[in-house]
Amino acid sequence: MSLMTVESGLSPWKIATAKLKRNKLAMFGLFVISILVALAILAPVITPYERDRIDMFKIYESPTSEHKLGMDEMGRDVLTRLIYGARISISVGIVSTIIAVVIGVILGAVAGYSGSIVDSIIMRIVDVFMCFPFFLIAIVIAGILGPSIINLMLISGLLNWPSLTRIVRAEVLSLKHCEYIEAAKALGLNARKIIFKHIIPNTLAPIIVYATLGIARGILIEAGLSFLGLGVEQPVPSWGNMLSAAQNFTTLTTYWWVWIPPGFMVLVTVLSINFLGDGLRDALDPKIIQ
Amino acid sequence: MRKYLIRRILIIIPVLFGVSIVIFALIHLAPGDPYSSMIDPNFTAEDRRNLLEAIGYYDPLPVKYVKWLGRAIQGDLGYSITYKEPVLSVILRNFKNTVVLSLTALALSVLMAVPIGVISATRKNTIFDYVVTVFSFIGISVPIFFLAMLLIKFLSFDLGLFPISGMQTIGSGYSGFMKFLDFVHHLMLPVIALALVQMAQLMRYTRSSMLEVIMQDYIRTARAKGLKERLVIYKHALRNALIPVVTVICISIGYLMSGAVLTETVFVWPGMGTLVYQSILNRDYPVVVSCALVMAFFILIANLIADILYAFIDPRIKYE
Repeated sequence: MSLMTVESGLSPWKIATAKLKRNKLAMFGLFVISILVALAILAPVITPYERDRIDMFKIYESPTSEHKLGMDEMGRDVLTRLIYGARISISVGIVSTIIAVVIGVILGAVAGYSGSIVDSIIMRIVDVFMCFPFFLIAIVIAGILGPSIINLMLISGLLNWPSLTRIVRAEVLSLKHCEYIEAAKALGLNARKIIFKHIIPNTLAPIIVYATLGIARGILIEAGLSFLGLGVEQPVPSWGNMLSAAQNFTTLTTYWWVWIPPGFMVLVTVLSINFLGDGLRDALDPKIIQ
Repeated sequence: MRKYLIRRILIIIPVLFGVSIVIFALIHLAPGDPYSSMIDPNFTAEDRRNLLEAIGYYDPLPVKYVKWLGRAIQGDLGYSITYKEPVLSVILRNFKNTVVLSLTALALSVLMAVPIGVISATRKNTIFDYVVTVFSFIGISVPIFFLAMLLIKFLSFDLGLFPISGMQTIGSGYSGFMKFLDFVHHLMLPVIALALVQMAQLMRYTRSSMLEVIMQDYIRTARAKGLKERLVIYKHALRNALIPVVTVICISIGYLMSGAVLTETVFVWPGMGTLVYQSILNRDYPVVVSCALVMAFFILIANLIADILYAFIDPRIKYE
């Protein structure tokens, strides 16, 4: 209640920021994400060894003071590759989300605004995409296109837009009959201007939440596809392809330092993003006052 | 109501049509010539051409699509290159293993998640609630194959509690009840992995749905007329809170099958997921693509059932 009296004169964004700052889990998530992004950017500076340096005498060496997380199946430093892996995994998450958001927002806004035939065609396409077993189709396409980072970003982006389209369409439908849109129409603005200047900015809150959680989904898809050998290829390290070392049974049971750290990193990253996304959802919802 | 049902069922038709087009496109994008390994290499180029022409290899795409669709409707999904038998029989063999695995996991997760979600909602902001919340966040964030591998390493290999992979002990010669017990023993770990992840999702839904219902006026009325708290929660609130949960459970069947791809691969469980992965490695695209078709069909049906159930359970919903 104190929020209402003290901050009632603030803009919606300032209120949202204030609410977010009070959410401990979200702030923890943001903190961890910042550290991870910094690590990814500074990888060449802070890693103790070269990314692909091979030491044939230290294959599967367990963690020592020299190699804090041990060595992998080719005698490469796991810690170094783990830090470089952050670059690939996080950028796959971000780029694929950008693709999904661009497609999802445009289609959703067009469907909601134009209504009638265009709307039902777009929504049927969404229905088609939504009833595919997501991961299975991702595997099929990855199998056909072949493994590469770009393909991975495209697959994840092109499969992730349908639910955002639904969200944006619903928002647009509720905004469409607002007086300010009527006013814009009366002023003679064309549909494109109304959609991009007046409607989409007012649907930003759910889009931001979706995009945040989308990065987490992208990272999980990278991990899954690369684990199956259909994503990022060696020698470029990603958390997913580091995890795929555990497809070897001896590695799985004995050389745990090769695969548990990347799995743990995926978990921590996705968890932090989910904390932040959930906090954003509460912060951007004007109905929740706490 | 009846009108709504009919309309809802009719909507499926264009969607199925779209699904079939996407699947057909994927078949044709798939690299390689599936016939090259089936035709005797001693044939002349002309014989080969005549043969391919006879089965419609040179037909224009729309004609091919119609022919393919006609066969697919009759259950003829083509011929598996690796297994040398009709795709449908390969899929049916693996499909029942996936169904056993995912339905057991679903049942277990519902039995655990709903009570925990309800208790968590009624004790909002207690330690129990915080633990449940953080646990469900971890559950939706962990890559399921990573969880599966952790379970294999620690529970199966280090502690020896469960078999490491497969569906039965090879060469054990068990029969009857012992064979069933052995099967259950193999089933447990993959079920635990799938159920833990599924539970996390369901707990969140149950909790938030329950929290919403508890704030309603009729709950205050129930309390005001002096009903016991337990009766208020479990009779008045729970029934209404479960309505959206039922929908989520139906929809999660598709999610479960999709998630089972990775889980099955890790546990070498002979279901659809393992089949898809093996077929990708073998470049056996007819099998891969047909699996997608079969699963899409089941997800569509599951979503249809979810919608219909929702309409039946919740009389407040009116359909024009």
